[in-house]
Amino acid sequence: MGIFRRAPRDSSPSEAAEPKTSLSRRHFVAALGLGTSASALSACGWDDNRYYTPIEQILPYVVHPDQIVPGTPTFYATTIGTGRGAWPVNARTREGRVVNVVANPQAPFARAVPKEALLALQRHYSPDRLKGPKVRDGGTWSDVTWEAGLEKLTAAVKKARQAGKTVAYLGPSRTGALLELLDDYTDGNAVFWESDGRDGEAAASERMFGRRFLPAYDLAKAKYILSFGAEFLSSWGGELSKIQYASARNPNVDHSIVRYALVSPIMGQTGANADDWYKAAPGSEVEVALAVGALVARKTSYNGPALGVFAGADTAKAAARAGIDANAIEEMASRIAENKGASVVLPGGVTGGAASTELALVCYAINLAANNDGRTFGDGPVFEGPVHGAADVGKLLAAAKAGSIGVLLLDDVNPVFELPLDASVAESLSKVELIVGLSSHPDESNANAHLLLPTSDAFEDWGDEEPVKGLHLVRQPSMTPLYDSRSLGDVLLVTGRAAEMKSRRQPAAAESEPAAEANAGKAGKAGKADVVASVEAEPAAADPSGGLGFGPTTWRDYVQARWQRDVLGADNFATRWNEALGRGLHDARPRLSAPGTVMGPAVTAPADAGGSLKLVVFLHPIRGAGKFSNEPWSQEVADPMTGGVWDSWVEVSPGTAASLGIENEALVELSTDAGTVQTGVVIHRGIADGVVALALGNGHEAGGRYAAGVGVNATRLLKLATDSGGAMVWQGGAAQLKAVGASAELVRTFRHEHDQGKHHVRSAPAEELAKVGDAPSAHPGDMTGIHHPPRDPRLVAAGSLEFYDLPEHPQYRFGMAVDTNACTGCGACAIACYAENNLAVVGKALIKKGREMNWIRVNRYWDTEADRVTFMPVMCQQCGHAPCESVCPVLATYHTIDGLNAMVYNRCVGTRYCANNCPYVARRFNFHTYRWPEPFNLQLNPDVGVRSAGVMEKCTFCVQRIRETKSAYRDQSFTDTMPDDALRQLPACADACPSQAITFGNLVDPRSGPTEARRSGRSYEMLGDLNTFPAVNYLAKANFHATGGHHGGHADAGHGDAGAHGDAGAHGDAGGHGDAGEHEGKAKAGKAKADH
Amino acid sequence: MPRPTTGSAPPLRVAFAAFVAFVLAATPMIVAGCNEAEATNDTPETFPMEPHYLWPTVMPDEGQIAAGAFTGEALPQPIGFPHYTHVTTLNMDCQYCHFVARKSIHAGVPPTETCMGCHKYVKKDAPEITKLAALWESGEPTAWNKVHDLPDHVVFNHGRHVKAGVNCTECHGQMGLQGQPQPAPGTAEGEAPVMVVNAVNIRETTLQMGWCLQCHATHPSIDTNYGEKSDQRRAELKDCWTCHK
Repeated sequence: MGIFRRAPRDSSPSEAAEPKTSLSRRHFVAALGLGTSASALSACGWDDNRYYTPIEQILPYVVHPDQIVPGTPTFYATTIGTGRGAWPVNARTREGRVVNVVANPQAPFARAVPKEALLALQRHYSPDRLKGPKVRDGGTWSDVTWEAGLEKLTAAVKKARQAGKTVAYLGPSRTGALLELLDDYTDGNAVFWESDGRDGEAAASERMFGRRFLPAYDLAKAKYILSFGAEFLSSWGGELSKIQYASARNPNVDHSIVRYALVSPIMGQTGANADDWYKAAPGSEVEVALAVGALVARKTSYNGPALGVFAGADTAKAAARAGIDANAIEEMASRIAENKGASVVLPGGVTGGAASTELALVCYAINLAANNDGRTFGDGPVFEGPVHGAADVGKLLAAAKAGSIGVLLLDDVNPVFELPLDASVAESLSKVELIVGLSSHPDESNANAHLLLPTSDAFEDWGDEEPVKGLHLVRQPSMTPLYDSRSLGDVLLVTGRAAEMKSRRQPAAAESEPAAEANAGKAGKAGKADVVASVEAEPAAADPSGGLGFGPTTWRDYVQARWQRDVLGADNFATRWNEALGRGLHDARPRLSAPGTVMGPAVTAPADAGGSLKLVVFLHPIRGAGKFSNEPWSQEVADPMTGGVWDSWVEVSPGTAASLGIENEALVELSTDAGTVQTGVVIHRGIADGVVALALGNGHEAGGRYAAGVGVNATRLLKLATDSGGAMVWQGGAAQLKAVGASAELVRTFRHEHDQGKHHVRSAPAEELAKVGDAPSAHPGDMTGIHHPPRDPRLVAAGSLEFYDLPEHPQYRFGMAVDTNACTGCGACAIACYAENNLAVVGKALIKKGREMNWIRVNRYWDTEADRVTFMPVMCQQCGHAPCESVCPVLATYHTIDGLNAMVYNRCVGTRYCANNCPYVARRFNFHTYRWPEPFNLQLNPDVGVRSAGVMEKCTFCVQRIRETKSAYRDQSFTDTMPDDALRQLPACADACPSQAITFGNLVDPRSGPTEARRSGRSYEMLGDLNTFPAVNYLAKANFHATGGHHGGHADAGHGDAGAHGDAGAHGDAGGHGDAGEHEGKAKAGKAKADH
Repeated sequence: MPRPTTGSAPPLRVAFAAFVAFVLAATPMIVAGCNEAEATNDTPETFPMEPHYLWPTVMPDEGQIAAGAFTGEALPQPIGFPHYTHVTTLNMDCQYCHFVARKSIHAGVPPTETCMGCHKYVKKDAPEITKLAALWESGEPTAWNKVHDLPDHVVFNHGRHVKAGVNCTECHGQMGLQGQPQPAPGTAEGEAPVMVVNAVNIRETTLQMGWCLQCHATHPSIDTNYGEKSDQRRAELKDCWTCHK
């Protein structure tokens, strides 16, 4: 229903046609005709003294739960994501349901809410979730009780074990208690697959350091980052690498700004932040890395054991194959050597995944040669959980084909979609006696299951994770299960016990338990364990160091028992467990250290597969490999690089497009030897010539109602291949591309390539900025090099700058500082805004008309000269002289005493004049009353109204959070002003941002974050010359002097742009906003008025 | 007046729409916007459940006219709860039962548990308590009809008002006088009357915006709490976003 509507399939664009009118012209004219008799008719039965509202009911609790105060939020510290993707967050609940995910302020990191956590929230309320267990008989599914389902599973497990067949598991990355339980349950036949391209890194660690793990990186200490395509600002390394990068990039920390160099055929969202982009051909990364490594080793006189890795280095050959200048290789090596001990080299993930294992080996060796081990790279806080490669999945399928698997548990992973599997998969799976789908979301893999046991998700379940060694995260239920689901742990415990399984783990010697040892010392001090109510049953851990087996009655007991054994120790456990629950984690991370053993295996670079055009697949910065494709937010929020929504598109460079004769947004056919897809093409500069890029994550066939039929699946163009370390080979295949149609009906929200000389984005020279940081400048903004008068000088001269007086703000003027240097374009702010403010998801057809409802968008502006991108989050600027306010005929929008540009929805009559007058295109009009299909409506934030048709809406700086914080602060003092730290990250966007790019505060307070930012040498206002006095000010991006001698601060940048990537699609819209990305016409109109 | 039927707009709606349309016809821009008026693709024919913006979102019909308006109409309740007995006779504090009023935006209608805390022992056999006990036994929540109902676009923070020193009666009227037990009708002369409680509640104040703003401009607690900043506070209190969400 409503407008969370499914996007129309590409195959039938007619579905996108104008929705049917319910108020027809005939009705309208009829109503008009009746107008004269209106008063007479309305007199009957209408009494102005009565209230015409529906009677509502109040349903109080029968027994009031202790933790709930109706009308106030309760927060639960919990963990979203599994295995290496886990992150501590707080779930905000109202009256027993999760309404939002906010940052956990007690976590030992900067605040951040991963996009994945927000998407998991929407997934939690997905209407496609299974409502109970199901069993398949032939082609038909029927409901079954949990008891019957578990009985079926137990019987199959027993039968398999008796027949000597294995019980196998295929699921996402897992750690902690569940890992041990799965290991016991499957007798070691558990495969953990993540499509993040990091399997090669684990294989390389095994070869070089003798142990399988993902090494630790500390980007915060780096002065130079060389990345071979690692998407460390979206999908590689989680939130931690984003937070660390933001710290390294911050000119106020250490008086340095990290220089980030990228070696990759495509930029992608992460690469768009790079200072230097070396456009290496796909598959050439290993050779380039070898050449760089050999040079680094020579420059640093490295003579360690890893030197053997660089044996095959050949700079000239590498440069030739990569299609880059040999001097570029020399440049990378010199910068690494210059920053000895403070550089970091990152292997490639999916984007650099032509030979992941080899590439990772060489990158590790460069890090060792550059003396980074123990400083920015090494052992210590590593990921030690299982990292399985594509070869392991292949082995599992081979075992299935051989008929040796009795029961296969398919957890929340979708190999049929995510892996380039051919038709033989179905055959392999058909040989398994019982496939049990444990995910509560329907997908392509679940379709092969015989039995579906929907397990509870992260908001409903207990659990623990260890994404980094020593960082123990707790997961606790934030609400009761929405449907008839059970915890995965309970399913395993119950059926395992029934099948008489035993622990595989041998009782270990006491010294192998560091936690127990650490606690032994404190035993005398702590005394008797407190009895705390929430620990009801003493965990049944008979053997303190042995396996937990299937002893604990419930999954919660199991998790507690593991924490008692491995993490907190038995001493005073109840109290410490409750402390950990409240905090969400227990932090015992070891320090970063140099790896103990180092070996230097020789590396052979992969051969070139040939072909003039190469395919590069990459993880979509929002949807990743496709797990969250069915979440409407993931489709609605614009792709950071292209602005595309609800679709897939092929990306090529202007040069490639010209040589192939392909127009922007044409329908193209992309084929490899594995398959063919048809979709649209987007031409942009973030792709090297001779490369055609396609994001993973879309093209679901059975992924639920929102994902099904959206876009194309990039893995269908690949063949399952593994490199020497058993890691998946993602890249290197040849491709053919040809135009097959004029238009692919792509919908993109970016209308412009660059800021057209209006200086929406500015840059400051990084070298100078690093010296002074954001220290107060005598001339704020002078560092941007744009000596643009902040206000129109003619107005200033005429003394008519202010027709109206600027409003006075006695206590608060809320403002924001947005640091474009910190913003990486990840889009977390936009998703957080959707979650917080009940924004409607409108779908592809309406976005095409320019009717998207996002309150904050991340604009992407290309530099006119260098291959550089600046991302710029734009929300309502809460102008001091707001152009929208003066034109509202009914005062629905006005200036509050707190400096906010308020919007009173029930006063709005929908003239849309305000939106027409807004130079920032921050306002959104409700052309419809949007409905939230159940149970999405349960996620609606009760503190924010749901707007109906005919009402204008826009960013409010999350006024509901301001109101709540003010109210809480009034409990302390009626008159004092709120301190800065209560406000700094108050709005949802600022709270979610892993880079701290958005700072909120009180502009009346001279020491608040945004006030201080305003005094910086790189501060500027967007379109400030329009005399709008925005409350948002931007901080210019730090740009290094480009390799080609380009100077930061493009004061008079040319405005010409190659025709191939001009304005992407005209979006004529009678009433809405013509061009959301850019505002040339409006800006001019504003100036014209000002001139007058 | 007949209840609305699907498919054709009932007279009241047409009348209202006609009025709106008549007024707006003078505004060409809006009419132009109206020509491309749309509803959603998959909307069934439940007009005006998915209304166009020119139409009121909720049209009144008899079932929806809230009684309990300040005109004195009473709203029936599932249990005849005598505020009179608890507040006036027994002199109980409002916040004994409405115990979240100080900490939340809601005053909180007490959970059945709170009632049963006393009524397990007190007046066990009274007819209204029997209803309460039955609900307690069944575990079903009591479905009270909302008397003091603010529109959904208003955020009203009970806690702030309580903490500021606003008395409950200032908005809720003399709740303590409501629900005074009356002799049951049909009691013969000279017989001891059976006292019954009418299961109704009456709203005594309008809860309209102007009524709210009167207090927001003049309430003595503003001076008490804000001292020399009280003028600024009064300005803040008449700001739309103080209450509108």
